[in-house]
Amino acid sequence: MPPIIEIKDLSKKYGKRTAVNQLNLAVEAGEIFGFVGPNGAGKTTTLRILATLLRANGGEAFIAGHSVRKAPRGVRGVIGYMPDSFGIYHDMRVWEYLDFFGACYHLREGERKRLVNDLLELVDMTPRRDEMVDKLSRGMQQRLGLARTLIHDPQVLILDEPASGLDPRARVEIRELLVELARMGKTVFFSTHILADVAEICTRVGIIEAGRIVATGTLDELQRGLATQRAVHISVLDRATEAQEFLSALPGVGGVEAHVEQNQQQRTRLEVKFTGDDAALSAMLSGLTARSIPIVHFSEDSQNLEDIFMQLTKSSLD
Amino acid sequence: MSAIPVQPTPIRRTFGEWLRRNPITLKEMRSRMRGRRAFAVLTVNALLLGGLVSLIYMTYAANTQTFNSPSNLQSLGKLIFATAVGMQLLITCFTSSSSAVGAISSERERQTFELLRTTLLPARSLVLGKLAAAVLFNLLVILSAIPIASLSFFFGGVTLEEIAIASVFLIVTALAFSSIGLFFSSLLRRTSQATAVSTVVTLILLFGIPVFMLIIQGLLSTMTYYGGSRTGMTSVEAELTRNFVIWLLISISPISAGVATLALLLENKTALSMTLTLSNGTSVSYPAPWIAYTVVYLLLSVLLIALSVRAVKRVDK
Ligand SMILES: Nc1ncnc2c1ncn2[C@@H]1O[C@H](COP(=O)(O)OP(=O)(O)O)[C@@H](O)[C@H]1O
Ligand SMILES: [Mg+2]
Repeated sequence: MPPIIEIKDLSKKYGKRTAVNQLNLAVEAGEIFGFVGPNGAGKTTTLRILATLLRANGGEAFIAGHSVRKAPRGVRGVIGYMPDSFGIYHDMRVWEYLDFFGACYHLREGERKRLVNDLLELVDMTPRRDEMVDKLSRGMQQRLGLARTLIHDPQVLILDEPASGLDPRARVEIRELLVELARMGKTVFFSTHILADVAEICTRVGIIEAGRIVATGTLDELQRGLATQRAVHISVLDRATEAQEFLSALPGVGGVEAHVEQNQQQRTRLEVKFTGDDAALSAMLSGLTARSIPIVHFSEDSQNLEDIFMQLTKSSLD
Repeated sequence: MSAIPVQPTPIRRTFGEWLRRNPITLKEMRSRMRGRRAFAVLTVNALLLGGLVSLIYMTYAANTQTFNSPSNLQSLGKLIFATAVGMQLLITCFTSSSSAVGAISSERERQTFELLRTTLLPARSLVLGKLAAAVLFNLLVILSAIPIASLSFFFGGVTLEEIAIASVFLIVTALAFSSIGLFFSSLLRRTSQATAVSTVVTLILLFGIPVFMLIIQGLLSTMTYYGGSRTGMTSVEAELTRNFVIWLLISISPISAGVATLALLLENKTALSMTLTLSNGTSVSYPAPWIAYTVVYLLLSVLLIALSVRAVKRVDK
């Protein structure tokens, strides 16, 4: 099956300033795809082009086979778009807000009634149905916005920074909702500049920097691809020198440092710099146990996301 | 949630049905009626008309002669009616343009415009829905003036024809000035800008054109005088041109078209055509100013609506 979102050599200039530069990306149906990048990287611009609100200068983009440029109505029918700002009507109740947008998708009145109830249930806002939308908290508005994008049962959700400006609890709630939506079969394509948002829920991420994709893949892939050197921590109760000699002789090991751990029953902590793959890592552990070295701790210090992100986007800091 | 097939819009529908189905009209009416502004506009309109009509009545009533003859009473009736309609005309120009001037720009300002544009609602439905809401509200304002204007019916003298012409005049005005507000709202990003431009245009149409007409009339009279020698036109041709230009200028301003129509009605011949006599004694007929006004303003409305739809459709570059 072709990707449900396909972006080919997409470019957008505002005057002389290039916001999106020959961007290529493919998202498969059912994915939760995190579009990550620092402020000004071109995320909003890309999303607005996908949502048929902005015309690109070059390249093409397709959603569920519809060209964003040539078949905007086809695209509108299959996407639910949430901009980075919540569009508020000052004089509308929560249910009226959803009902109104349902009518804008030509849904019949009876259908809308049922849908509004279902959606309010889904985003956990049934008790708020008669409140005025402008009196809702930011987190509530964001959830209502998400419910709005769902009113016509679109295949693809295009969400611009859905979790920004929310308190930690509301953030978690939005993340849970996105997972729930993916479970319902929707493709979720969302942008963020906050790494924690993508860490737990994304099937894949694409990192954008100065209008270009600098990396795509699962978080594991990104971590492995980038980690030129792995750090392995091993704690032994005894025979630290023997262990150190064994490790140093292994291929791929760049150095072993030993520290005696205080207050830890005479443990010695060995920090191993290593460039092998997972099989070599496993062989390292079996080698140690085969020599009956008393290991109490063996772990790989995984490089955290911030490190990866900083590494990938460092050009903007230069 | 189950899959909901998106319903295609049925094409053949009556206007009423279309209006009822248009989500924009529904939303606008609801929020207009919820707000205090609609009530304020209706109240101020009634107070202005009521005040003016009472003033006329009291002035007349002070003169005991008034109630002696039926013809005096009839002219009182006519005067009350003409004043009420004229006042309503002025008010309608302003309330119409101002009630449509936020139509599109306020959606942009609230950042709901993009939400609407990503739905399947066509630009045409958005524009026409907004326009319908504005026009309907202004028709309501006009309807609310009927009890006051109907005071004139007690005194007699107002004909059915006059009532019909006044109605057409007011309805066309409500439509045209709503279209003007809507157009600037779709063209300009901010409601404040749209309000400023639309107010200036309204003032020009109301007062600028009549003043311009007076100036032109003066100029043309001189030209007619020198007609033969300077422009190569015969004096009759020059006079015909002058009359045509003046007739057109009269017809494209609500005030002058209204006053000219009133004059026609008072002459009590026909309200359909206007006859001007040339210096050589021949007389030329033109359609009555209110007819020309209706045609010109209907065409203007259609043009402005089409341009508004285009502006709404436009994708950002
Ligand atoms: N309407 C605009 N006019 C001019 N420049 C713009 C406009 N919108 C965005 N930009 C510029 O384009 C770049 C990308 O912006 P944007 O897509 O909003 O990035 P992001 O959403 O990743 O923060 C930025 O440098 C920004 O200043
Ligand atoms: Mg952005």
